[in-house]
Amino acid sequence: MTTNLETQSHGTDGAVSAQDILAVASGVAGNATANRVWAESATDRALRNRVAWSLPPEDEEEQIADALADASDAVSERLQNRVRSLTERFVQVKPIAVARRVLSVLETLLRLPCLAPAVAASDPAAADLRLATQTVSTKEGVQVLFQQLPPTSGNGGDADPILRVLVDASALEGGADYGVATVTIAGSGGGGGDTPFPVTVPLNAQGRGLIDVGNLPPATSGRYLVAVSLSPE
Amino acid sequence: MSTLLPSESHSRSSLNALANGWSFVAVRDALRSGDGAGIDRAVAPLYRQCIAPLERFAANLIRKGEAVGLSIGKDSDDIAVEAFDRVFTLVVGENGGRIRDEVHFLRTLFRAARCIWVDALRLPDTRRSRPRSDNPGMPDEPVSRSPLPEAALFGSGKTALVALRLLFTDSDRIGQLFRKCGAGTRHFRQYQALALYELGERVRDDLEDTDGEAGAAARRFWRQLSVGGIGIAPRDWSVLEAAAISCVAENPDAETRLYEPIRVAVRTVCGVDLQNRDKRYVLRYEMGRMLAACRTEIETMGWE
Repeated sequence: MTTNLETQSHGTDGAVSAQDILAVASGVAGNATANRVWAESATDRALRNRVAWSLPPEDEEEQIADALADASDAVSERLQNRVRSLTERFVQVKPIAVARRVLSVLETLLRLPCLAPAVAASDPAAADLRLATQTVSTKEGVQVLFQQLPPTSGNGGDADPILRVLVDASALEGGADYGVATVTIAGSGGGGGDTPFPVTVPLNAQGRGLIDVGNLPPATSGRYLVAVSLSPE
Repeated sequence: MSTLLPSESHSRSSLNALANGWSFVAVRDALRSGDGAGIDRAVAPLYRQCIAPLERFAANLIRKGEAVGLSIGKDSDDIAVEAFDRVFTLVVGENGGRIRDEVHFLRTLFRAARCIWVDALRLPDTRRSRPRSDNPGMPDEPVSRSPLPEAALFGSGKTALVALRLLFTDSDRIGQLFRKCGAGTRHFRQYQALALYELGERVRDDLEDTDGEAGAAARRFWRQLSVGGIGIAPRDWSVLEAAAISCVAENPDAETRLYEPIRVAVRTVCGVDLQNRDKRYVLRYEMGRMLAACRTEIETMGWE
């Protein structure tokens, strides 16, 4: 002898589940489910027993009224707790927020002319330089590429050059979870002289991104890459 | 088929008393959103209203089962908790959109409790599904030489169910199918007679092994399938069911090899005499051929 639940019917479209039977018994089953339940149970005696007993009896309303008639509404604490916790199954676990991550980077002098002190930038040789790149890698394998682009056309010869900052965090485990990289450039030692300026680089789904920076603040001393950090947004 | 169960009037249901202070739409939307705080807000008043009556309903079911020797390994708390879980699962699933309002939700909740109680019941596991009168191995009757199709009428599953519905609700279409496949040129009422007899005999066979609550459940099942699912008129079904009940303790007639009360009831209902078992087998064979030949077409109609 087995419990009803232990008897299952496997038709061509899969087993009739407890959920299917409830859908039929409560009149909410779609055509496919209803057809399957009735057809399977017409030929399978054990399933038929299950479905037959699950259908509402003629005195269902009376049975419900009996349950409602009892004035006592005392519910055990155990039951209250069990009911309360059952909805946890329906709570969708959202992805755990990725913590901001500061990467290990050695302070690196940036040698692009646009980042050089004004004195150096006035050097005719440097002024001739229209395109230069420099790549720095953090210990974690995130690459930061600095590229100096020529001034945009139409700005005339006096226009500032543009610094393009590219970040590639795709090689970092979990790098794709981050949405923003912050690349901080400062004067020597990070504290002396010029005010540090952070460059925020939005990252794509692969953990890569770039941004062009114009109007670079004037520098009085050499510029260094002092910090790189990643954050979710 | 989704309206197999008779439409239920909610206006005078005692469940109306539980339908205040919470919103089905809010519960449904919160469950679907997966937002924990939102779910807690939406279901808390539902719990407050329903948990006590639901637990009592479950306790009554358990007592009722035990009174007739049907025990289960759960208590009423288990059933109440599982009922909420099962109905919440239904709500977030594809059928959840068919729950109309608070009372319909509550009715489904109480039916979920019944289903869980039923699942845990230890009912006799009688797996025989072929009618005894149809068994050619009965010692006192000769083995039939009739060309039986591989599967009996209901063995064709969903196809048979759709075809039977057409037989009682759209005779023109079923006639077209028979003509198209060349399985038979009889009047559709001949096949109606076959279907009614088969159904009546199955009711009789199920009732032979059961009594009391189990018998009532069996009758409920066949009535629901025949009237709600196949489209047999309720009055006709009552005639057939009464005939089936009347011959529970009887054997088939020695000459016709049919249960006489059912044969007579079929003739009364649709005006066709099934005559004897040989004619039944011929009709069943033709029906089986039609089901096999038009399977795809019939199943397509089942989705309409």
